[in-house]
Parts: sequence; structure tokens; C-alpha cells
Amino acid sequence: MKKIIFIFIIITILISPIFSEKTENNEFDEFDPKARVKIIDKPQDEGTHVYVEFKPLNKPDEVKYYLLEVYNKKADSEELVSSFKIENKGKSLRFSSTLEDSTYSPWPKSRTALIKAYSSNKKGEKLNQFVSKTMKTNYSWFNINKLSAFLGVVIFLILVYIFIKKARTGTKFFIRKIPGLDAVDSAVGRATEMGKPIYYVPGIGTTSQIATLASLNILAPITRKVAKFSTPLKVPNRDPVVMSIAQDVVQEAYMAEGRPDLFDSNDVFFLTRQQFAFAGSVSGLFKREKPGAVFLLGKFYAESLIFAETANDVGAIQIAGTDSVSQIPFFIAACDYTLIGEELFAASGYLSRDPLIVGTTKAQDYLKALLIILLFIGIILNIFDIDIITDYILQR
Amino acid sequence: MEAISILFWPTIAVLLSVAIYTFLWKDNMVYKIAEHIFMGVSVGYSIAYSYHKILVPKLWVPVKRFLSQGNYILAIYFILGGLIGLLYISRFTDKTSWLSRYPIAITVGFYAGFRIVPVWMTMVSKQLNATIKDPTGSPLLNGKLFEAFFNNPTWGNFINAINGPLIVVGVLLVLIYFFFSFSNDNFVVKISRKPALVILMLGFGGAFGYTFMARISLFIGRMNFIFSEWPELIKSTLGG
Repeated sequence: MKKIIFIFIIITILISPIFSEKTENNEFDEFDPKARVKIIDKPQDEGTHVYVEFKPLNKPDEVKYYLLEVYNKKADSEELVSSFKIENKGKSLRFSSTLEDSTYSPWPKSRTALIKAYSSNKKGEKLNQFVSKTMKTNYSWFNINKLSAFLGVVIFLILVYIFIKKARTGTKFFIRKIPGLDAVDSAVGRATEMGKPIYYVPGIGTTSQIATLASLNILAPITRKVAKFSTPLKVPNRDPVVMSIAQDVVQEAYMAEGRPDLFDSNDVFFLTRQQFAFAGSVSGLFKREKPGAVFLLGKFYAESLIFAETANDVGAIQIAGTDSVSQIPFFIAACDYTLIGEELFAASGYLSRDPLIVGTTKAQDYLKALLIILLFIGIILNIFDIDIITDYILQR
Repeated sequence: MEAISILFWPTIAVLLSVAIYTFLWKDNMVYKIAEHIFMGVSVGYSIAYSYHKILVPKLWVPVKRFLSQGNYILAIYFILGGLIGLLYISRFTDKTSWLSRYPIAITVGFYAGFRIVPVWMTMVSKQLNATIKDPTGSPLLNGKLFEAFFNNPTWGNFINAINGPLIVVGVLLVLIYFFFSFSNDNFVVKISRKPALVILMLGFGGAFGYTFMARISLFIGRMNFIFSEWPELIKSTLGG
């Protein structure tokens, strides 16, 4: 009998942790986890986005943590696309999830979102599943919310077509004086007289930025001016793609001026992709080669003042221009001439007088005039609480 | 040995920072060494980054997955992209360098088109909308705010009342300033030029001060590292 009692006590001690753990877990099991879960399909998209609204219905001391999982449900499988650990603070929460999966689809299609909600613990482990909801998403080929962009582009294309056609038939369009660009000749002339090279930095942007493309457009007429005097032109680059384009632009400009012999592909060179390593290298080159003129045209960020100050220090004439609002003040402070914002975009037309670019500049002005009229109407209507312009044409 | 491993990299950081600052005196050998280390490391890093973060996860892994799933069309789609990218290498010889224009044309063309809608939505539509209504939905030209100012003429009410009209007038004047194909003799262009320049310079002045303070903060951070954190580290490592 003693043996049986002894064995019973041993077994009880051994299995007691199992019960104690269960009791600990029962902390959560005492209350059924409850929550209101709503899946909302993002309208006007390619069928990939859903929003999940989650409102805990337990008090925070009943169920402290939840886990919400979003799956992309297919005929034969469920692929987890996102999971959210939620701390119950009694508030309603909204999550955004994309149902893009490993079998990437290049065109819009409907998908099935599966939402599973669990009660959880601090570690984010799943305890009890209490919600499982599905919803089929809608897809659309055209986002009606971006209709204004479509109409704007169509109007702009019509204007561009009209003005380019006019420019090609010989109509001379006026472009107002841009002081910084009038100084290009004197900057090139000064560098030539001093026997020093000219540096052209097309910024640190990539080809996805309009300022970089504008800068590459300006590089051609400047190279043509430089070619007339056989002054060395150097173009340091931060982006390999921009460098490739700059090489072609410079080569073609030299050829157009009948001086292909002046082109050396090593003069249009890549330094590094790292912003401040590039700034340090260009500053070092300025100090060592002491250029007579420096053009800083394109997209610039925090390195703008480093370039401008170093070029100023070596006594170069500087013509700078960017559309980065936070960098223009530095150029104004440290450079001889500055192209402010859109002047950079108009510069290539101003320098080259190419009918294609001048026609586009004219079209831009007309679009701006149309937008000012629209803005004016919008402001007046808004005073009388009529929101047609802001709700349907100029949406946020 | 442990002291060396703890102190080595912070000491290198201090030495390189000081080496870069020597540029303020003049271009010298120490600066050149630091400049070339910085440039070399960044180029090496970007090559490794491109391989591990772009080439492998965005090309190699998807192609392998699509091939194993039997999704050959998508695999070919990715392989074609990779092959077009490889055409950049054709620039190494003069004979084949023309081939590199294809990936350049695709990249530039894609981005030019891709950026149209985001640029319109963020830089045109949203900006003009914000010139008509503030984020709460009330008009920027709000007569009620002027009424509140005249009923209770405090500085705060005055600022509230003129804030919106200043933005509206400023935007209109600056937009007119950036007309390039209208003559300066045009009446509207002529009268708006000077006020537009004043508004632009006020804006740039604000931006200058704000950015300058951020730069000073960075400088203080570096000085703090050189004169405070690094000596403390030496003391705690060697002294303790």
C-alpha cells in the first residue's frame, strides 16, 4: 500500500506542471475572444489591396493580445501575406494589406482575401482562433480617381502638338530673359581665357527625376558652346545610367559642332553612388583642377552647398539650378547665377531655341494659365461652399 | 586584445572624420587618402548591395521559382529583363556600345511615363486643392476668420486670418512669375514680378534657416562623437 501511495505521489508531482501550465493558459480561456472584423476592398485598384478593420470586443484585462493574419486564398492553397500583432487597448484599428503573392500577375485580377484572428500572448503566439472570414476583391483597369491626371495629360498633349506644329512651320515664340543663362557665354569664355577646364555636374538624381532629364537637355547646348573654344569639359556622374546618357549627349554635341576629335569618353565619368563620397570626390577634383566655370544643374540634395562653396573657393564662375526647393537658397547664397525651379526646365529651350523644346515650353505656359483659371474658379466657388473643383477635378 | 577590438573602429571613424575636416585648411594628402577610402568603400559596397539586394532577390530567385513552378512565360519575362540589363555592358567596346541605348531608352521612357500620374496627383492636383481648402476642409479665404479678428483683435487671430490669403496670393503670384513665353511688358506679368520675388525669397530664407540648423545639429553630433563619446570609450576600455 505504501508503495502504491508513493508511486501515486511521484506521478502527481511529475504531471503537476502540465496542469499548472493549463491553468496559466486558462487565464485566456476563461473569456471567449471576441472582435468585430470587417474586410474592405480598396476601390479602383488592380484587385490586390484590402483594408481590415478590427474592433476588440473583450476588455483589455480579459484578452490582452490578438493576432490577425491575412492570407491570399487560392483554390488549392493559402499564402500568408501579412500578420499583425495587436495589443488590446479597446480601440478600433485599421490595417492595410496587399495580396500580391509569389505568383506575380502583371494584369489586374480578382483575389480572395482570407482573414484569421487569434487570441495571442505577449510573444505573438497563436492561442485560439475565433474569426475566419473571406472576401473576393474587385479589380478595375481604370482608376476613376485619377481621371483628372488623364484629362490633364490629354490637354497638355494637345497643347504640345499645336505649339510644336506652329514652331516647326516657322512661328517664332518669345521666351523671356533668364539672367543665369545669359551668363553661360561669359562663363565659358572666362574659363577659355584662363586655360582652365569647365565642370558640369548633372546633380545626383537618376533618370526617373525630371530635373536630371532637364539637366541632360541643357548639357547639349552648353557642350556646343564649349566646343567652339576647344575648352576641356568634364562631367562627373553619380548614376551610371545618367553617365551613359551624358556621354552620348556630349559626343553628339561635339559632332554637331564638327569637333568629334574633342570628345574623350573619360571626361564624362562615374565616381560613386554614395552621396557624400561623390560630394567629397567632386570637391577634391575642384580643388585640384581649379575649373574656370562650374555648372551645377539638376537634382541636388544636401551636397549642394559643398559643391557651391568649393567652386566659389577656387574662383570659378558658378551657374547653378535645381528644382529642390530646400537647396535653391544655398545656390542663391553661394553661386554667381541661379536658375530657380522651373527656369531649369525652360533653360534648354532658351539655349538651343529648338522648336520642339520651345513649343513644349509654350504649351507648359498655357497649361499653367489654365490651372490658374481653374484655381481662381475653385477659390471663388469654395467661398460659396461649392466644392465641384476640389471634389471632382483637383482631388487630393 | 578585447580593448583593441572595441576601440579600433571608433578610432578609425575619428581619424577619418578629422581627415575629412582637414579639407577646410587645404587639399592635402590626408584628405586625399580619406576621400579615396570613402569612394572605394562606397563603390565596393554598392556592387555587393546590387548583387545581394537586386540581382539575387529580384532576378535569380524569381526565375528559379517560376521555372520550378512551371510558369515559363513569367520566367522568360524576367530573363528578358536581365538580358536587356546586360546590354549596358556593351559600352565597354566602341563597336557594340550602340546596344546600350536600348536599356537606356527603356529606362528613361518607362520613368518618363510612369512619373506622369504621380507628378500630376502630388504636384498639381493636391497642391492646387490645398490652395483652395486647408486639410480640415475649410476654405483658405475664410471670411469667418477675419470676422473673429475684428471681434477680438489679438495677434493669434490676425495670424489665423491672414495665413490662408497669404498662401493663395503667394501661389498665384509665383505661378505667374514662372511664365516664360509671355513678354515682360504684359501687365499682369509686370506687376506680379517683384511681389513674386519677395515671396520666393521669404520662402527660401525660411528653408535656408531650417536646413542650416539641421546641418549645425549634424556638426554638433560629430564633434560630440570626437570630443566626448570617443574619449569616454577610451577611458572606460583602457582605464577600467
